[in-house]
Amino acid sequence: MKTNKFKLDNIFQYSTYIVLALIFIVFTIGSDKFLTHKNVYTTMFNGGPLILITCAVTFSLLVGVIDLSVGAMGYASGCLAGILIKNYDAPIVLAFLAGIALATFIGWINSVFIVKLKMNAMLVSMGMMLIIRAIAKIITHDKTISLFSLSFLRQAKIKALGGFPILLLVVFFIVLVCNIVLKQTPFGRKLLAVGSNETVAKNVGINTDRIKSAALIICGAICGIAGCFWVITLGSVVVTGLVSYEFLAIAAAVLGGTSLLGGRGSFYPGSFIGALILLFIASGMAIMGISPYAIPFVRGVIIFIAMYVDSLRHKAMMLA
Amino acid sequence: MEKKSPLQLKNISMTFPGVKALNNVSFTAHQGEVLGLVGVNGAGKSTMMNILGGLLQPDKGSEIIINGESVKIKNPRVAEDLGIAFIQQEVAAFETMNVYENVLASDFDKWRKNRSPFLNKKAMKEEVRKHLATLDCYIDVDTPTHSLTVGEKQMVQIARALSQGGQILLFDEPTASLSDHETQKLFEIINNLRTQGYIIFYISHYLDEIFEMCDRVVALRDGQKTGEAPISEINKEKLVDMMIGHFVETTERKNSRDKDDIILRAENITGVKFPRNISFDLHKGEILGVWGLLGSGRSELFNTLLGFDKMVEGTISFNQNGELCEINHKDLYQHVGYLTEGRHHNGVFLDMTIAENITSSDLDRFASKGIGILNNRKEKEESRKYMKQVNVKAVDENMIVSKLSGGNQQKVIISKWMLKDPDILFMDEPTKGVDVGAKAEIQNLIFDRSEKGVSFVVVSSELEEIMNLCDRIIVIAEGKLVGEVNRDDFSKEALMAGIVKQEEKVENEQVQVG
Repeated sequence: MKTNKFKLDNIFQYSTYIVLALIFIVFTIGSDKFLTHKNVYTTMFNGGPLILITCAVTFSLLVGVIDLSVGAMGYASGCLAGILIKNYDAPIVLAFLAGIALATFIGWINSVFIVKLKMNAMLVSMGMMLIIRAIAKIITHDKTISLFSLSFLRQAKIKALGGFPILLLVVFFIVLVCNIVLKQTPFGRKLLAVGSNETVAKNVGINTDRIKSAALIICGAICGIAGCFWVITLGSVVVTGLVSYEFLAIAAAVLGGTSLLGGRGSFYPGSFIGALILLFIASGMAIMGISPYAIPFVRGVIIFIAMYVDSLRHKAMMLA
Repeated sequence: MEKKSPLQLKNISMTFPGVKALNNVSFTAHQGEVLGLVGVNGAGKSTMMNILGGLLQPDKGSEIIINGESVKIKNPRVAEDLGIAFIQQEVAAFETMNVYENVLASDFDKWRKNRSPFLNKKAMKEEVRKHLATLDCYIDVDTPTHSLTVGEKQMVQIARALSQGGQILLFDEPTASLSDHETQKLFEIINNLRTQGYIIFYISHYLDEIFEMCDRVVALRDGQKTGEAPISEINKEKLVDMMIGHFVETTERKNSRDKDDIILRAENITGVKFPRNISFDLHKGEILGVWGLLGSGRSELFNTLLGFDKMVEGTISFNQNGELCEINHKDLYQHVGYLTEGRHHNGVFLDMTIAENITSSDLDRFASKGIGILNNRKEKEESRKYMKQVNVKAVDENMIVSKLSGGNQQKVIISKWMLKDPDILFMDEPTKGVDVGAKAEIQNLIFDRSEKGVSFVVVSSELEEIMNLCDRIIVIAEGKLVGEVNRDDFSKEALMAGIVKQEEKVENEQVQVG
């Protein structure tokens, strides 16, 4: 019965790796500055917020909720931390914790609207995004907050690895934990179950409302961490921070094989590699001196291709 | 009509990853004949139909010959052009459109007025009336489809097949959702079509229907043809033998157990509409049947009792440590399993694996203490054990459930509840859409478990099945409890008595009101 074991399925499984490898090959040929320690590390380090927000949105997508407020939640977290450090001389750790707590709280509010009050998830989270951005604008008077005191965090590097930024380990660690939670715990399996078919999940005795709420709150918390990371990488809080990250993150998650309908997806390779694909396309094009206006265009094309592959995969799975 | 030689299928094979769904099947269908295609779930009937309908492509070497020409049915469109029409099990209609629009939905372009962009509605209606008349069915063509009965929608579906110029009609379980009356009507129509020279394929799990309708049967088992015979030359035993190779005997239920401990007591259970004021006791190890006509509130009773529908009034007591204590829905659900009726809507996680489905009812058991890491190996081992117990036919436990046949999916659901090992298992139509062999296996499994002290509450529309299975049956009509019959007194009359009485009562009330 083991015939046909090597089939399309396997190719699909590695499709994200293949795409990432192709991007590396193309840009390495295109420019000798692409495949250097410095570029690879910087791209991943500066892309840390995107990687984390992709993980966050993956939690919401897994239970079938499209959360559009992820970018704004990250922004709120970073903004609060920045204000606390700049205006109140708060200890850095405390300021970051406050930021993460704020984002987690916003995640909880989302969950109340979406899960308890059964309001439309996409519009609730879009409203939340608008509200957060507006409040932040009022509080910061639309001004940039510079944070020079954080530069030591940005510069902490491991020499032995050619200047590996230490904070990048935090990103890897979070991806790893998310992955273990999803693949190896009952909670992770329940996330998939709720996303796959809520009625069946309820029927087997899963508290579906609690699982969905938990997913949205965790989504907020990770956005909070992403926000702190963003403040560190940038060294300042700007009003346009993390704008339209929700769409980039959702695109990255879907590139990684996460279903928009819920019930299917992964953090590693899924969301992680998905985010790297988008990051390295931008980095490679910048290095090769291609117009920055072309970057969204190429990203768009890549998303179309990924969606086509995804539909093929889905067909192969359901029909065969 | 041009001269048509019969439809020939030669050496049809179909390979799915890991499974040979059809293996060198050949047979011929004749004009003006109803050919029955029988076999257990997963035998390859649906695969065969999907190949004819152009939804699947057979392996190399397979040959389909229509009108003496070898044809390749690349997609449903080609099938349509060849005059093959598929009448599916689930009635598929556009609910928001009218009857005539539904009938002609497959090719609106043909009905444009003189090549203008406008539809020629008059001609369309004329055409549809013609086809409906062939079917002896006189529905107004302007009726919105959502107001039709299931039977009428089926007629619309058949009319659609005829309007496409179908000469080869494939009926896949056409009576599954029809009432008795509608079934009789459908049979008349099929007989009528037979005399008009159509080639008709007929698939059904109901052997009685096969004997009533078909001229000839072809039996499939595990993808191979295991028999072919004119219906007049075989009997039921012979047919079942062709289908499953051996006869799975159902064990006779031993004497009803003595009425020892009551495990569940429901009192005055009342929902929003149904049920109304129902009380009953359930004993340990008992198999309690709930019987009533369609729409009598059987499923509603389960849903209300288990807290999925709102309970307006009533108390539920559960036996905990030898004492009957009042219990709320949530705590009760810890002790029960609930096999629901609609398999696809609320039975399985279609896009998850067999193992993931089976362990979903009690995940925490596989998690380590403390941080709770799942033990995947143990999960798979346990799943394999249950798959073997209930005889799930699959490559392995990692197979995606959507690839399994209906009967096997049902077995996965049953495994899921067996794994939870509840005190009480509620089953709504446990064998619906399941073949003869699997039916007997499921029944034996229920007996076996009840011996071990598990109590069952079973809803089934099949009178024979419920009488075979249960120790006691409560009868429900219009949401009320109207009768209770013990195993020794089982008979159709005894069960119907309560229902008849209830109906008379309602009529009398109406008369009084009038």
